[in-house]
Formats: sequence, structure tokens, C-alpha cells
Amino acid sequence: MKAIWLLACKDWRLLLRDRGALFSMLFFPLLYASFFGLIFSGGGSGDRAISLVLVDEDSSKASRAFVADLQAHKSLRISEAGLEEARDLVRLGKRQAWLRLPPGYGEAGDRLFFGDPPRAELGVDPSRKAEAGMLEGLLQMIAAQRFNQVFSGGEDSRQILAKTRDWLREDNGGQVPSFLRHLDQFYGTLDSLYESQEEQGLSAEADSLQATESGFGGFQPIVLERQEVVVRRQGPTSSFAVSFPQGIVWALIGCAASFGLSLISERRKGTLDRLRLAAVRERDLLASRTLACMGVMLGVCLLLFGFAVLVFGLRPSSWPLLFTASLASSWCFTGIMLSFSAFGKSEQAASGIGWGLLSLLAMLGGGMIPLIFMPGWMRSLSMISPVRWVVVSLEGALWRNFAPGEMLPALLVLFGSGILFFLLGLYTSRRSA
Amino acid sequence: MNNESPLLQVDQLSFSYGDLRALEGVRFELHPGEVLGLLGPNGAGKTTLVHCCTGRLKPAAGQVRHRQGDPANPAVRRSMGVAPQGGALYDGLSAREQVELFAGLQGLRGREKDAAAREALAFVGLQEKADKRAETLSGGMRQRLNLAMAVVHKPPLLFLDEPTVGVDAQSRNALLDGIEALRRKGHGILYTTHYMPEAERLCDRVGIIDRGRLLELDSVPALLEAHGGDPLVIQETEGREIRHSSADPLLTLDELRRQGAQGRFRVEYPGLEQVFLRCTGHEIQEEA
Ligand SMILES: Nc1ncnc2c1ncn2[C@@H]1O[C@H](COP(=O)(O)OP(=O)(O)OP(=O)(O)O)[C@@H](O)[C@H]1O
Ligand SMILES: [Mg+2]
Repeated sequence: MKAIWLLACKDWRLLLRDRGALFSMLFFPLLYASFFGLIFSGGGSGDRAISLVLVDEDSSKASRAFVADLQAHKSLRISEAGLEEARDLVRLGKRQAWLRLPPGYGEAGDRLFFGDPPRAELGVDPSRKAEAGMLEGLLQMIAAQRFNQVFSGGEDSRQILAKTRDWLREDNGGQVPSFLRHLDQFYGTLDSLYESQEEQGLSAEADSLQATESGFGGFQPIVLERQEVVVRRQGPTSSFAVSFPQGIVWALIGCAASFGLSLISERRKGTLDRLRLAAVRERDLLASRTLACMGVMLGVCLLLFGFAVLVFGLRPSSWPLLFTASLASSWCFTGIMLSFSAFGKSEQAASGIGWGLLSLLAMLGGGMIPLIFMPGWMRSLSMISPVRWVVVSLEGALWRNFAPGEMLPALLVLFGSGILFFLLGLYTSRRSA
Repeated sequence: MNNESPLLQVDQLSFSYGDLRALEGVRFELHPGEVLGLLGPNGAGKTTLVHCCTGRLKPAAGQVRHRQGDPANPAVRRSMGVAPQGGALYDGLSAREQVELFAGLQGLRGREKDAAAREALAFVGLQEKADKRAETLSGGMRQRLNLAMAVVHKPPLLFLDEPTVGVDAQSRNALLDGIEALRRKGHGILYTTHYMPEAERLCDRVGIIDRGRLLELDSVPALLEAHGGDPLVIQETEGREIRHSSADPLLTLDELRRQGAQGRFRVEYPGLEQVFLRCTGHEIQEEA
């Protein structure tokens, strides 16, 4: 066990000191993915506003005012549509969320403290978890501002207050309990307060924000009912969601080639035999290779995706699936590495044949032309290349929104072909030994 | 010569690379505290013999046994150290890193490992170069590092395949001193070379190997006695050399003087070179 670890550390150390290898497995893929991602991004990445489709089924004065407030906010990009259309827009990833103001929204708002608060339905793209929280906060805040305006005067507010008083009376069947009389007095004071404010020419809006902060405690200005959104996307969330899986393909090829070549060089220079003579068991040699290679591949995948997330704002729809897909891809390419290293006796021979074959696999599998741009026949042909399954599984976790069950075929293909390549590599190197 | 059981027994060993018979019927034993030299020209089969002894190559016929058992078994390999011909180093690792790697693979841990690595580097005089990568070391230094990697775990049985090729005279002497020290501590060493003086100085017994056959195996004095032949009295006159073979060169010199022979005279005593010539029928081709 210790030997496996020592040997893997040795491999990592050698790799870190090999500039050519670092370039081909890290910097080149990073450049490739960033470059193509930027080219196709169309420069739209600066827009950080949340796109929200409004479904105003109430069309009351209050709901229109709320819509106007939302439109005025710079963090929101608002459009309006019917419910079905709005749902589709979010499902297809064209908008991030929809908000439905159902009939009766405005009426509930007019009642103030009485009865249920106004309700609205919210559907958010599940891959936008971070934005979802922000959006809810924003909606609450804007709704609260509406409330403050009510308390800070104006003709509207007075009407709303009067209406509320009427409702209270009706609800009590014409009887006037003592607390309502107090309320009447309170309303009277409020009215004179408003009048004096207007005389002084104070703007109602000016201090509305401070009023929010001085707050209503646990009071909710609007109740948001979250609706489930099942996303069925047709296109990627951003150009980087396409270019980074391709970058990963090149990174995996770079890793497989670097490790394969170092294995060939160990065999040729005699260090491999030297390890055997130092009492290292065959299975430990194999295990250390596998560990070192898979570890590096997985690490490079995470580094590249981490970069994409931090720098280009890529949002995988599922991190656990992305990790699983990266793991399966690393396993598959570790097998490819073993086969690759069994190809040639010399580094040159292996470089020649191996790079050629790997590039062909990459080309077929969507490492150069993205799968979504491929004509149908080419896409069918790509099935034979493990690269395709790497791309599919990574895209599944990035933007295709695969459920675990949908991911399974790609994972199985990667895992199975990894085993096949592994055995092929073992068989070939045993035979030539 | 030694009552202890041998560290290595080779019996009727044969090996072929395809059609090429590289070893044929080789027999010998190696005892603790003994340096056994294998002397032979390029392509004689020295390296092939070492490979068969370390278990790297599987003999076509015959048997190789270490004291602990079959060298194909990794556990048995722990008690041997191998310095392969030409090095086999990791160019990207420093001298210390490689020595420590092999110490670790041989089961040494922690402080014990660090101490062993330091000792091995000092043994070959590479302390100052310990943190230099192997690719930046000179050829002779690489040879010395190769040796350090073989001895770091102090194995009872050592295989050194031409460990002094390319090493300068001073370092070579230091290395030979080191190897003699190992012998005194009871290590058994199989040592291949084509340098006669080295074999004469270092080896308790020398095997003459040519075209895959171990032709002779004995101590240097015994080999000289059996195959060295008589000393030569050489007379240089008018640009010519006249060679007089003689069992008693002083007597021959006297006689030549009395006969009035002209020129300069010198006496050549037989060395391993003559032994080699007699045994193989051809001279060893020194590369140096
Ligand atoms: N891998 C191989 N495949 C085929 N033939 C080989 C191989 N290795 C060695 N030989 C042949 O076997 C014979 C013995 O080679 P070996 O390397 O054992 O010689 P050596 O005595 O070590 O020579 P040197 O002094 O040059 O190291 C040579 O004729 C050589 O050509
Ligand atoms: Mg040799």
C-alpha cells in the first residue's frame, strides 16, 4: 500500500516538473475552452440581471404598480407573458424565473393587516439556485416598499386605509367593538398627520426605503409560493458550457499522452525494471499508475470547471453528477493511457500513432466540432468514440439537466470502455514483455 | 573457501534471445564477504547473466537460487540490490529523491529512511549534489548515484553491472574502497567489468566469460598460475621488439647481456590480459 503511494507521488512530482506535459494537459485545454467560449459568447456575459417573466392575471391597480416597481429595478430584466408561455420560457432556459400574480392579488394587498397577505407564484430554473434566493429577497423588498408608500401618505394610501376600515366593519356584521373605535381614532390621527406632511411638501417616496428598514418585524408583505420547474432545455446555458467539456477532452487526452509517454520512457530507460527489482509487485505498479493518472485527470477536470465557474460564471446544473461524470471520464482515459503506452516501444512511435488515434477519437467524439453542431450521420458515428460519452456526460451535468437515470448510459459506456482499454493495455504490454 | 551457505547459486544456466545463445551452462556460487568478478568483452553475456541472477530474465534451462529462494519472488528481491548497467535513473528527480524513493520501496520509513539515504549518498560522495536533478549530473556522477540507489537498504547480495564506467580515477578509487568496505561487512557482490586492473585489485575470484560461456573461475593468483604463462623479456633494438619467453627472466637477461645483445630491455609479468588471451584465443577489446 505504501509502495503504491510512494510511486504515485513520484509520478506526480515528475509530472509537475514536466512543462510540456503541464502545457498539454492544463494550459492548452484552458486556453482552448476559454478562447472558444469567448468567441461564441457574443459578449453577453456582462449582463448579470435576472430575467423574470411576469404573468399578471390580476391587472388591478396594485398589481400594475407592483409590475412597474419591478420594471424599474435595475437587477431585474422584466418581460410579460401568459402563464403557459412563461413556463415554457423558463423550462427552455430562456428566462430564469416566472412570477404569477393571480386574480385577487390587488384586493388582498388593499386589505392590509387583515386577512391573508397577497399571494404570488414563483417558478425558478432549478440550475439557478443562487439567483433564486436573491430573487425572492428582491421581490419581498419591492413589495414591502409598496407598503411603506401606503403609510407615508398620498391619495392612494388614504383610499386603501378607508377601504380597510370598511372591510373591518363589514366583517363584524355592523357591530363596532371597542378596539375598532380606537382604530377609528388612530385613523383620524393618521389623516391629520398626512395633511400636515403634504403642507410641508414632503415627498412620500423619499423616505420609503428607510421605512422598510425600520421594518414590520415578522410581517410578510407578499407570500411567494414556489412552483416546481422541470427544465427541458434545448440549448446550453452559455457558450462555456460547450467549450469547457471540449477543453476537458483535450485535457484528458493530454494527461493520457503524458502518462503513457512517461510509462514508455520508464520501460525504455529501465527504471520500470529497476522498480521491479526493488521488490515492487506488478499489481502495485499498476495500481500506482492508475491512482496517479486518475488523480491527475480528476484534478484537472475540477480545476478547469472551477476556473469556468469563477471566471466565466458557468453554473453546472448538478455538481454531484458533474463529479461523477468527471470520475467516469478519468477512469476511461486511464484505460486509454494504458493502451496508449503499450502501442510503441519508443516515445516517438507512441507519440506518432497514439496522438493520431487520440486526435481522431476527439474529432469523432465532439472534441473539435461540438456535438450540437454535428450533422445527424456524424452524431451517430460519434457513438463509437469514448470522447463522445465524455462530452455527453459532462454536458448532461452542465446544461442538459440529466437526471441520474439519463446519465447512467453514458457512465456505463465510459466505465465499460475504460475496463476494455485497461485490459487491452495490460494484454499488449504483457505480450510484448 | 567459506563454510556459510552461499548467497547465490547458479547451476547449468542457459539463456537465449531468440536464436542467439547468450548463456550456456553457467555454474558458480557466491558467498558472503566475497566479490566475484565477471570479466568479458562486449556482448559476452555479463549483463544477461546478471539479469538471470536477479530474476529479471527467466532462464531457458538451469537454475538460479538465492539464499532466500527464487529471485522471481518479490520478497526474495528485498535482500538484493542491483545497480543496472548504464544507470536507469529518473532524470526529473533529485539524487536525494531517488535514493529516498528506493529506500522507501525497500520498506524503510521516516528517520531511518532519511539516514539511510544520507549514508548512501555519502558512500558515493554525492552529498553536495544531493538536491540536483539527475539530468544535471555528469555521467560519472550518475554512475555513482546508480550505485547509491543499489546499496541504500544495505542488502546482503549486490549486483553491480559495470559500475565504474565513465567514473574518473579519483572517484573510481573511492568507489572501489567503498565496495571493499562492503565486502568486509560480509556483503556478497557480483561485479562485472572489462577493466582488468579493477578485477585484479577488487575481486576474490574472477570468472572469464566469453560468448555466453564461463570459461574459468578462480582467484587471480590461481588464474595467473594456470593460464598466465611465463614472463616475457622484451628487447627493443633498432625500432624492433624481440620477445623472449622465460620462466626465470633475470637469468635470461644475464644470458642476453653475455651474448652481447644491444638495446633496451624490460620484463613483462603476465596479467589477466594474458589469462584472457589464453582462455579465449582472442584479446579483450578495451573501450577505454
Ligand atoms: N534484448 C536483447 N535482445 C536480443 N539480443 C540481446 C539482447 N540483449 C543482449 N543481447 C545479445 O546477447 C548477447 C549478450 O549481451 P549482454 O548484454 O549480456 O553482453 P555484455 O557482456 O553485458 O556486454 P557489455 O560489456 O557490452 O555490456 C549479445 O550478443 C547481445 O547482442
Ligand atoms: Mg553489459
